[in-house]
Amino acid sequence: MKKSFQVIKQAREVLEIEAQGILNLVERIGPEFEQAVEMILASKGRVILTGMGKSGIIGRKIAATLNSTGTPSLFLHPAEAIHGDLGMVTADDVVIAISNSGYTKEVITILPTLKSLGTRMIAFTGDSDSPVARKSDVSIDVKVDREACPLGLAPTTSTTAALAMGDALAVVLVNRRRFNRKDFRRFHPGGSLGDRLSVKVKEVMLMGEQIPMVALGQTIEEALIEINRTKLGASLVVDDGLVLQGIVTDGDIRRSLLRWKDVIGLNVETVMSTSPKMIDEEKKAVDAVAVMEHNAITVLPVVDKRKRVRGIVHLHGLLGGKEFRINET
Amino acid sequence: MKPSLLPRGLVVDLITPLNESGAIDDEGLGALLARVLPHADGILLAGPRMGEGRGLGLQSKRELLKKVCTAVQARVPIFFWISEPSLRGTKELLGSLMEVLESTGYAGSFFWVDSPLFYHSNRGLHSHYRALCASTSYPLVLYNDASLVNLLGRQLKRGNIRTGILKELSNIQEITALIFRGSLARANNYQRALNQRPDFKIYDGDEARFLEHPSLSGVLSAGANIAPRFWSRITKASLGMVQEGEKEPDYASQILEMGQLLGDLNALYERSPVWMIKKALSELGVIRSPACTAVTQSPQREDSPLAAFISKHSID
Repeated sequence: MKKSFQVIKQAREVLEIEAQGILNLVERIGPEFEQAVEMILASKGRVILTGMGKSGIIGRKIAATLNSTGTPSLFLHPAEAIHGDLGMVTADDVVIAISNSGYTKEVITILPTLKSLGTRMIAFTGDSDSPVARKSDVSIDVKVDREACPLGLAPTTSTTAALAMGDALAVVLVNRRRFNRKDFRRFHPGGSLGDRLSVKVKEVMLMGEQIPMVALGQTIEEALIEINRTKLGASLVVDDGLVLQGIVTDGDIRRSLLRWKDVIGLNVETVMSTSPKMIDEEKKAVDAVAVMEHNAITVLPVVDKRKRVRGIVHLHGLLGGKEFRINET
Repeated sequence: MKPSLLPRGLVVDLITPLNESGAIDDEGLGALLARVLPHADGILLAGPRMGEGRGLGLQSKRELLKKVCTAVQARVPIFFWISEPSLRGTKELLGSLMEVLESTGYAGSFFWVDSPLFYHSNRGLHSHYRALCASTSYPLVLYNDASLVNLLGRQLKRGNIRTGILKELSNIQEITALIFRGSLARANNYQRALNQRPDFKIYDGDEARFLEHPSLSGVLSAGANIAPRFWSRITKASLGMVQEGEKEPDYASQILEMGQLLGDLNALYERSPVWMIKKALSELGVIRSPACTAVTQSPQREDSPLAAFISKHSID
């Protein structure tokens, strides 16, 4: 009982110390944070995180967060940097160097080269008078007053504080860029099925050259070429105004071959289904899946209010079997 | 205010070596300084705990300050505790020590350390410090230790500086740091109160706390009197001052073992640290005698297990 009490007490102390470390940053955030945000927004390149040891791990996480929220970012290991990886940095990039002490040798070593490239630099450091802070264009204070881990065996509060500051930066950048739900989905195509299917059909449908499409009067051979090109197993048939008239599938052509032997030169109208299933572009992807499952089909034309073809969706694309992309508006 | 650089790291809460007559043991002081200075980032003289500042007379304090200034020669910052049981006594002591300090022409970093609630209530502390700071050209460090105030036996309402008062005091630029003993919750509150002073340091005045959750400003250490090298190493490790490339392959196990030993050592002397550490230092031949001032409580037992412990574990 006593032992258990000690364990809980110690765990609470650690959480209190780390929470306090973050809370202390709240009042310390100042104009330099704003400068860092503006610097990143103004840059045409990427945000490059760098740091050694645990700071490096925090840097990787911040880079991942920035990438997920629309700020192109990558991690540069300082030791690898001096062996050639500095070549990945350009003058358009912004480097964020994380060093709690501000005296990390490997980080200090790469700073002059970054400077000579013309790269802008932001420091996340606990010592605003340190070399890393002084050599950077902007220094963001992530100083903590107490570590939770005894004997400095592992940085705890200090890495938590740097991570939280990185999150603050990413979130502010999201808001400044008006990064919206659709943008998030664009960068998370591998998100959960529920997320994927909650989008509108028009956001995920295949468009333009990706649509297999022939006009009334074209031959079955031409339809086959279109089916082969787009690999969706079917081709839409439209009139001059792109209004959907029918659909011709692999199966339709197979069945016609058995019936008439030489069908290659026939018009598509002779084999197409004239009342194809379709879905309005404003409907949700989940509705498209329901229509396809209900009718045992794998492709579904997407149309507007006047039944003009706008795109096409494939069952596997929506369920994860094929590449899933959010369309640009 | 004279420019003084606050250290980050190990501040040794130096014992005051005395001979049997109660006078400063010059040789012992020299030997002790030679032992600790290579490893210390600062030293506290006449501190209320280890330095027996409550028991030393004015002349002893003047003598101590003069001798240490001469010996240290600006190698590390010096802290000197100035609190007396009355406001008047504190001011007089400060004035007297100022004379000594100026006469030595000391050029190193120097700080007065004051425990305000030792002689003053929370009320009116801000104006008190405005006046006190105006009377000296050296910066001040606060020392908050409720148990010390309790030793006075007075019915004071509070033993700790109120958080709001501390926030007000932090507006005085001459007050540069705080040595803190107390609960973790209070330490957190103080840290928040001092947030607007990023240059302000909070030293752990409690070794055991430092070994568990280190303040990143540093520690005031009693144990460093007998184990300065170990304490220096642990402090540097705790403050993240050891570069990755400087760490041996078994660095973590070395530090863990060293931390454990210092914790065990602390447990041995914590009940009567002054006497026990003096006794150990005298047995090691560093100081002449374990003699203490009248305010230091002697333990019932006459032997100190410290010397045997540090010899057994090769602690230095």
